[in-house]
Amino acid sequence: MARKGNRSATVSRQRAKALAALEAESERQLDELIRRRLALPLEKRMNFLRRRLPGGGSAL
Amino acid sequence: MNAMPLLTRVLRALHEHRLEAVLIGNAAAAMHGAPVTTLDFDFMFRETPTNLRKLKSLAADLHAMILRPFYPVSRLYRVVDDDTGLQVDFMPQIHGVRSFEGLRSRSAVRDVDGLLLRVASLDDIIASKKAAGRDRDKAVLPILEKTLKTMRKR
Repeated sequence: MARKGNRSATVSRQRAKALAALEAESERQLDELIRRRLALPLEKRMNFLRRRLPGGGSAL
Repeated sequence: MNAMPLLTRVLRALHEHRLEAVLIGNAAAAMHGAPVTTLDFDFMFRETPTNLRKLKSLAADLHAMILRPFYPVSRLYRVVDDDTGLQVDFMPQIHGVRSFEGLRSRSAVRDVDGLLLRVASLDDIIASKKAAGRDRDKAVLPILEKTLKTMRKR
C-alpha cells in the first residue's frame, strides 16, 4: 500500500516537473517572438490583419 | 495578410478629409511590435458635427458604408466595405482612457508609406483593454504586458 502511494507521488512530481518545463519553454518562446518582432522595421510588422472567411472564422 | 494596403487607403482618406484620429486596439499594438492579430482598425476620434461630416465623406471616398452596430448603447461608428474586407471602427470614447487629447499627447507618430499616423501608446492600449475587461481583451493582456516590458528593457 505504502509502495503504491510512493509511486503515485513520484508520478505526480514528474508530471508537475514536466508541466513547469513546458510552461518555461512556452514563456521563453514568447519572449523570443516579441524580441524578434521588436527588432523588425515597421513595414515588416504589418502582417497582422486577419480576413473573414465565407463559412465563418478568419485567417491571416 | 499585410495590413499596409488597407491602412494606407484609410490613412490617405483621413489626411484628405483632415479627420484627426489615433489608432488604438490590436492594430496599434501590432505596430508597436506585439505579436497579436486583428480583423479591423480601431480609431479614437472627437465626435463633433464637423468630424461626423468628415467621416461621411471619408466613407464615401472608400466606397464604404457607416454602420452603428451597437446604437444606442455605444457611440461606435463602423466604416465597412465587404468587397475589400475593410472594417474601420471610430470611437469617441474608449474604456480606460479619459480624453482624446490625453491619448493623442501620449501617442507615437509613425510614417506609413509617407503618411503620418498617430498610434496610441502601448500603456494606453493596455489600460483600455484592462478597463474593457472582455474575454478577448484579457486574452491578449499578458502578451501586451510582456511586449511593453521588453520594449522598456531595450
